[in-house]
Amino acid sequence: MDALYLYCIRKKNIFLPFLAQGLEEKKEIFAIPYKKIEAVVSRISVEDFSSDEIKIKAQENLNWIKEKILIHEKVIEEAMKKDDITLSVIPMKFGTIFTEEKRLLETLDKHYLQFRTALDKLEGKEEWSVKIYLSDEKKFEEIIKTNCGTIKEYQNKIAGLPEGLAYFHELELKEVISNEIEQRLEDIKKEIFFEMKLDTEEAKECKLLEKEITGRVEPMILNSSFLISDKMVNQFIQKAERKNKELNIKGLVLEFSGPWPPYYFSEQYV
Amino acid sequence: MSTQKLTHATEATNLADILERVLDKGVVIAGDIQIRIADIELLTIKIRLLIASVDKAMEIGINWWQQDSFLSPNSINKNNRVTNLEPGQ
Repeated sequence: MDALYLYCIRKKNIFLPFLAQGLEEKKEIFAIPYKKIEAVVSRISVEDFSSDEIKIKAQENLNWIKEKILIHEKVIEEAMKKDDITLSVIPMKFGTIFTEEKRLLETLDKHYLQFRTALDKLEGKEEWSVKIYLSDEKKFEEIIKTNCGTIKEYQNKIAGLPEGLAYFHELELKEVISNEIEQRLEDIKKEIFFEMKLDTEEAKECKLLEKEITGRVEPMILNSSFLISDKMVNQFIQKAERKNKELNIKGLVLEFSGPWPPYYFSEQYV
Repeated sequence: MSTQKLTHATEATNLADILERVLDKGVVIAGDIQIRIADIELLTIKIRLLIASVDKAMEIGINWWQQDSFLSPNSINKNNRVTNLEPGQ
């Protein structure tokens, strides 16, 4: 059975054919208009996208899901691009499906005001991501050791002790160092988040992603999203680059990406 | 504006960023059908999508299966030995 897969909602636009293919091969992307908004959709077969089928695919053919997730993202990215400007869109969570156009139109009608308000509020704004990783743990630790008074005191004390006694103090020192590292990382995270937040419309601290998800050796220290007025984006990028240089000296790295569809900032309006 | 292109740090970060958003965020409205994947399965999918090989996992310091008695060859041997001894005791 044919159904409609909903990618995102945006204000009614002069519709240009999409370069991206739909979730199902050879099914093009099109828009279903309703009053002043439109839903960006493509046709899919219900059988291929039932929860059970997805679960089986998750076991057998993960690349299939990965491909679909990337298409979902690509279509929305294309929907928010018009020449040089970023259009406001409301991105849907993966897997929102309507069995017929009538049902989709009913939903657009039911949530019309919320969608309109959200699109108005998001207009002229972009979502950007900022992440910090601890890229050089040794370097970070060395800097802390040379700058922390308590640690220095401990080290001096240990130097004058007989071997047996020194051993226990060394264990204590190790704990002091590890606490200090944790505290400093927390401070840096707060400081950077605060500074990046200045001149943005909204800011969110997001869940830290595990190594299993990032596929990286370095632990993630900060994961954050910002909603920025498009006039302020250049300034934001420059600030991020500057902060990255400052952090590099301490053994940390700041990475930023965007503009993203406002996944983090449209939820609150709908 | 200086950039319209997504500025991606690395391939892996990019995929993680996309998974984080597309699977966990975005607006939920009641469609007729909503693909539902329980949270725990979602994490499994994310992990399995990113870690294609054991080598990659080891490289980033993930080796929990070595401590898992069902997955580690050493532990299995130990378990077998215990089982083999039991009839004689």
